Amino acid sequence: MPFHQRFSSVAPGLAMKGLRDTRTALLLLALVMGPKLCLSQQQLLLTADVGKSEFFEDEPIYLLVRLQNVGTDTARTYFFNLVSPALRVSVTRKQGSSQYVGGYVLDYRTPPAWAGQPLAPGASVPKTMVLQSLMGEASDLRAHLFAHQLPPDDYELRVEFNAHLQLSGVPPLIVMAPPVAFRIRPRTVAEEAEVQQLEDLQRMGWDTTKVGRHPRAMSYHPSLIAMVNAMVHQRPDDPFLPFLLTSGMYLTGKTLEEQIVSGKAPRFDPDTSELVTQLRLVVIGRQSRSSSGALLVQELSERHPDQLSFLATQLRGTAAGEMAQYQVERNRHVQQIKQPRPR
Amino acid sequence: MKCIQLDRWQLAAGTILSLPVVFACAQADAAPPDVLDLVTDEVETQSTFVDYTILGHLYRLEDAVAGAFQHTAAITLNFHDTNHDIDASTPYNASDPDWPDPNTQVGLTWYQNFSSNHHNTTDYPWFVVYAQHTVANPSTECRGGDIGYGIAFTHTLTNTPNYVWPNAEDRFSFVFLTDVQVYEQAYCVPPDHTPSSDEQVENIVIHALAHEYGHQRAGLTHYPYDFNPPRSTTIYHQGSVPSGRHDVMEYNDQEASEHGDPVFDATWNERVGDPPSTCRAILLNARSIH
Repeated sequence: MPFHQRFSSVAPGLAMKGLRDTRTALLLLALVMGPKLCLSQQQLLLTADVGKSEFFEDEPIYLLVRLQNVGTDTARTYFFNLVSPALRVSVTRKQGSSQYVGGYVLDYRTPPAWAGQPLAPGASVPKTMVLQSLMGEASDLRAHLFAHQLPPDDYELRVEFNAHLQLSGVPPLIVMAPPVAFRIRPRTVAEEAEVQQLEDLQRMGWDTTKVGRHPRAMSYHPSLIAMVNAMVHQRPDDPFLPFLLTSGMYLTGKTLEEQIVSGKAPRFDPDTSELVTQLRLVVIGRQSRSSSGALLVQELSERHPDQLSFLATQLRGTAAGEMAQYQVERNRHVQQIKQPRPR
Repeated sequence: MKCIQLDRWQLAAGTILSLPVVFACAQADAAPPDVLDLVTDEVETQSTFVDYTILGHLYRLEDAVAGAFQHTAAITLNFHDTNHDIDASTPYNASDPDWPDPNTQVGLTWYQNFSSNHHNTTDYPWFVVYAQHTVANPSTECRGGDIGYGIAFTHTLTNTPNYVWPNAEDRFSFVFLTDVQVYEQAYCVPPDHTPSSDEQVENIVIHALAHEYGHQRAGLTHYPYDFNPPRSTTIYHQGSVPSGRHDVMEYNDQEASEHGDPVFDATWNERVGDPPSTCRAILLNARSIH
């Protein structure tokens, strides 16, 4: 039984039996729950951050969640990430009073008597993603920048982690991050123009209109790189840049994909493009203090592990630096426990 | 409680039949049996060629999953293999057959993009992809079997109960079939354990597919660990399952490997329109969604 459910089901029972003194009830609850649960609660700290408090409609909201072991013992938890069944991310609209929750789940199979993933004392696990990729009104990638949309409103974001899901021999534990308030406002004329321009570009990947002998879709990547290059030089703090340098670079509209698969268009690998790498590094440097910079580092880490140590040193004390340091330690851990694959 | 399915029909592909399927319960005080029209889900499936060869040995998979939904809610599944040679390489890297980690910005976009480009929503409202190794699962480490692995990925509001995406474009499930076989039979088998047998692997895949399709088809929640306020344990999954068995929406290692016939919790007294207190009630209510 999850902690909160257990809490809510025990507390009314105590009240019904005449224990009206709240302090007595809490003391009894503490005794019932035992010291282990209290210790676990103190040991894990969950935080969420979106970088600022106001966004315009369809501006990417870079969500950074962080699970930290603030205790002195190694903690063990379920898989911590933004598509984990143990993590619940939700935003509640103030005006509309409706709620959106994360819409994806990566289900895991764990062995019997699984002990969980270790988290060393002092260690933290940062994970980041664009909020509109995860949740909101379902949207069409062929027409909009994100798979979901969050309409203008005041929002409160909540993150909960069911830390002991599937762990054997430990009591349930749900850790909650302090709620985060933010506002999404309607776009200004200039912002409207920018979003429109980016959506037009995105639609290009599905565009079958012939330009010369080829569909217009084949111009998607060159057009995107040209636009991003100009943005980096003119306004390197633009909030769309980290999104365009990650999701944008990998997005492949159906028409473009057909051209690639049939061999009529070359594959474009942004991770081997020197220009894309340079642009990413410039934006990481400019936006290192925000969750958007952390997102760019997270996405670099899979195929550019060689750059992480440098970034961790150079950006120490920033969100991007923390992400780089986490990835360095994670890779080191993998190397340490690496074993040959059975034949 | 033991439930007996009195009638079962062989279905022609692409049809929604109005033949009655009758369920009755052996329980003495059970209400009169429901008479339900059989509804058919047209499910598009795709796979890489590597996964297609694995599927070639999973003779029970699709019948077992279809049987679970038919037995529970008179929903049967017509699987349509529309592509069993998906270009396994990522569009930007021909040499990389691995599938991305859905827990990254790029990876999540990739799965959304793949579904958008490949799902034929005109003919098939539901979509399942059998995928190769995902980099979300470690490929260079093995801790004596004491690791878990990502088995499947679905677009579902798993923490918003019973929500089904109204547009077919938004529905997809990816089952990491290659990883199931590798992890269960070769890669991370503890020294004191024997590898899973072929039958056990197939049972695990049957449970994975039924579980994911339960998410996709009816927004079924996990049992018993959801975050729904109030907690799902007191609202959902209030039915029972046969003795010694576990609801397929529960994570249960032994249930998945030992049984080839997934079960959903039920009271067998449910009617369409009932509160969502059991998987069967929710599935009955979702029958009208196509």
